[in-house]
Order: sequence, then structure tokens, then C-alpha cells
Amino acid sequence: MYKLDAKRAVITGAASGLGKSLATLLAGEGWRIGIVDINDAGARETLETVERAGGSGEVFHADVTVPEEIKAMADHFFDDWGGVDLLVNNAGVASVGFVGDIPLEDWRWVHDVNFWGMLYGCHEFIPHMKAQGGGHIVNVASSAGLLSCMEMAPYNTTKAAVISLSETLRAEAAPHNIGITVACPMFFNTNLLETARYTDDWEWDFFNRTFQYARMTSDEVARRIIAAVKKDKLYVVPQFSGKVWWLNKRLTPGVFHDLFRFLNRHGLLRPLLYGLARLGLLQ
Amino acid sequence: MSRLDGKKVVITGAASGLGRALALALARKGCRIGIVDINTERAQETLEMVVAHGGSGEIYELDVRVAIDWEAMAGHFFTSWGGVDVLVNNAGVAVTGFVGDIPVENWEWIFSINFWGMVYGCHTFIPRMKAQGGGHIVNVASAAGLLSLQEMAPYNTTKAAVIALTETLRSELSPFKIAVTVICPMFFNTHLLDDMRYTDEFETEFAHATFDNARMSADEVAQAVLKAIEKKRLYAIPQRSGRVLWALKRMRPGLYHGALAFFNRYKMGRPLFMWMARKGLVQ
Repeated sequence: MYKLDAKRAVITGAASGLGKSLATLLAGEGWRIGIVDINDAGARETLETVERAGGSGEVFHADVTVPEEIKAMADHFFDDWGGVDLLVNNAGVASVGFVGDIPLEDWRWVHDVNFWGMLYGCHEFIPHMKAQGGGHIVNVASSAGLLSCMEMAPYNTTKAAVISLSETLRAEAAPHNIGITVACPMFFNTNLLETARYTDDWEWDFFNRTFQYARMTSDEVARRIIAAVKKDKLYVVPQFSGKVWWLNKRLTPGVFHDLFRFLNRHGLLRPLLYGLARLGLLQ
Repeated sequence: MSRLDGKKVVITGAASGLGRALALALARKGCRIGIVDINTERAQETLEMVVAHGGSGEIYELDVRVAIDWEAMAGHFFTSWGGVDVLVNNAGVAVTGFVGDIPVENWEWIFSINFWGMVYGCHTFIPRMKAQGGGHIVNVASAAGLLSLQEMAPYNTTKAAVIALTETLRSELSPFKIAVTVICPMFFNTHLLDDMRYTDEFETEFAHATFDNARMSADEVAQAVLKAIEKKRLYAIPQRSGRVLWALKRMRPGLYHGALAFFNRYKMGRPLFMWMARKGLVQ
């Protein structure tokens, strides 16, 4: 297992939400943080928080959807810092709606950020990490990629692809001493809804409920991700509800999806999901 | 009397491999087949075989990567045939290699066909199937999307995304009487290797070993697919090896990928897979 002693981390989407929490918590342990985002003002705020927490770092402006910018970013940190021990591919967005109603532009937007952003990160960092003798990569996916809940197809497909990418990398990167962790949280309060795209009002209402009744803060999710990295675990499903839902799906995947199919056929799935959100059972 | 007798079916990638085998199996049930492919010469051969097997149909030239052409194709079949009962999203390609070595353009190529080709199919056919009062969408994924084996990250991620898409559609489409099925075969003999892009000799040698020692022919896989469509199953995993490996992974996902990582770390990954391919254990 790779020793993370040099404590150099690069985090994408670090200007807000989970990225900011991860940066702050790692800073508290004395890490140096590369704060990568397209939001410069937010990134500077994260840098201040990082410095207050006892760490150091720098802001790097990069759009994760542009491979050249990710390459420049990777080259910059490996040259200037002499190496990077931990890459957190965190930047993500969401689009909600039924397949057929969701405009193709929204599909492409979600895939550009959530899938291609993470792929470019892996594509550029892995050769550098191989050369330096190891490292660790965290891809922030979602329980949505394990559970495939309705009205979230673009999001589900990107996250399932990221989970599969991380699983594949687990074996591929092992001989090079590169550890892989994929984070699959349920709903918790981040800035995801500020940019999310919807096709109707119910969806807006539902997603705001899931955030309003969240059981875990982004700091708590970040703590669990960092603990998983230190143990070199592949999967981290922070919330108890996510562990239970995933177990159910793995036991009988066909029954799991047919139950939701039955409920939706009779118009019961939306009320059920709304009720679950109000009770915090999706969070 | 089968549920599929005399149905109107559109199949992408029907000029060869599983697409052609499905076309012929459906032709024997008197179906009308829309043979959609980019290769019109081989599509014409498929049409002649379909007619010889007792079916009827027509060929339609389509590059599945072009959304606007999908719109025209869907419009054509729904107008001139008065509807389509079954859409089979089958066209697919393969890329092998390690993440970091695989050129980004190969990633883009496989996603444009394996993932976006199926999204466009669903996006254009779902509104029309809703309007006609029902239908069935079959997405041909792969057990690779369930098992995430090394050196196949581009293929694994596209197929995992298609599986998540189909799972999501299972509940989304149930009120509209549209069924969905996702096919997850292990290796079997098709034309997939003709256009495969790989990065080293081992990968092509391994892929050919899996095809040479295949346990099921494309015709047998096609029969299994027909049965799954008739029973409206969500998942169809034709080979027993696929069902066993998926059950093992679902039981202990962390242990499953940890074991594969352990083998690869000690240079036993490739010999293990080659041995399994020769014994027919991944087929």
C-alpha cells in the first residue's frame, strides 16, 4: 500500500460542497491542497479555509471537461510539487427527468463533467503516478450509480460508468502501487442543486426535500471518504441507507427493479420516493 | 404461438454477429425486420437470409453516432410500418488496454457507438412507443459491464452505463406498457474483434482465445435473448459463467475486486485470464 506521507492532494470541484469539505479536513491533517475549479472566487474561499485549518495550497483554474486543461493541471502539480499523492475527482453536476424528455444537450453536459472529467483526471494522473512509484485516486460517484433510481438516467449512467472505471482500475493500478477508492454517497447537502437541470416542478421539490432532510453533512461524508482512503478500500458507501439499498439490490437485482416498476405502473413510486425523502431514508 | 410472432422489430448492427443472428431467429417467427447498419452490403445479405428464413423486412443505412439520423430512422419506421414493436440496440465495438495508455480518441469512439448510440435509440423511440401505447426496448450490453475486468475499461464503462440506463427505464416506462431488457453475454463468437482497437499483442491473443473457445454460438445467444424478450425479463445473462461470476461479485464486491487486484499485483492476472479463456470459463 502506498504511503501518503508527503500529503499532497489535488481536488477537482473544490470550490464548494464535498470538495471543499475534503480540502478542509485534509488541511487539518497538514495536507497541501491543489484546489481545482472553474469558480475562482469559490476556490479562493476554499484556500482561505484550508489555510485557517492549518494546511497550505494553491488555486488552479481548470475546466474538467477540457482534456488539455486537465493535462496542463497535472503537469503543473507534478512539476511544481515534485509529485501528487492523492487525486480526488470530485467535480459533478446533475440532470433530472425522464428519458425521452431530457434534452440531449443536458445528457451531454452531465456526461462531459461527471464521466469525461473523471476519465481525463485518471488518464493524465495515472502515468505520472506510475512514474513516481504510486499514489491514490478517489472518484466521487454516487449510490445513484449502484441503484438506478428513476428520473435520473443521465446522472445514474455517468455514476455507474465511474464505478465501473474505478473497479477496473483497482486491478490495473495495483502493480503500480496506486490505490483506488470510489465514493457512493446517498443524498446529502451540497451545492449540487444550484446547477441541477430539471424537466418539471415535482423533481425540483423532491430533490430539495432530499437535501433538506439529509442525515449527513458533507463534512461527515468527507471524513468517511478519507478513512476509506487510509484503509485502501475500493468502495465507500457513507450512509447506512445506501448500504441497505445496495445490499437489497445485490441480493435480487431483478426483484429490486421489478418492485419499482410495479409501483410506478400504479402511480405509487413518486409518492413513495417523496415519503422516503421526508423520512430521511434516501439520505 | 409465441408473443413475438409477426412482430415489427428494428435491430441496429444487424449486418453481422448477434444482430444478424437475432434477425434470423425473429425471421423464423415471421417477423418484419428493420435491418439497420452502417454497412449496407452486409445488411443486404442479412435481408436475403431473413427472407429465406420466412421473414420480411428492409434495410436502413444508419450511423448510430448521429442523433439527427436516428430521428429520421425512427420517423421512417413508425410512419411507413405504422409502428415498431421491438427496438434492439445492438451495434457495438470494443477497445482494450490499460487506462492511461488508451488514446482519448478511442475512448470517444467507443462511447459514441456503445453508449450514445443506445441513448439516441431510447431518446427517439420512447416518445413514439408511448404514443403507440407500448413496445419493448432491448439494449445489448455485456457481462463486462457487471464484472469490470482489467484492460477493458472503455468497454466496461459503456456497458455499465447501458445497464444503468436500462435499469432506470424499467420503472420509468412501466406506466406506458414499454418493457425493457438488457442483454449481458460473456464472450462468444461475433464480428466484434474485426474492428477492435487494442494496445498490445496479449490483448488480441486473449480476445481470440475467448472467441475460439466460446461455449455458445451467436445463434444460441439469440435464442436466449428471444426467451428473455418473451418473458419480459430485465436482465438476460445467457452463459452460466456470467451468472456465476456476477453472483460472486454481488456477494462480496470488495473481496471480488480485491482478489483480482491481488492476482494482477503479483503478475498472475493475465495468466489467470488466459487460462480461463482456454478452459471456456469466461465464455
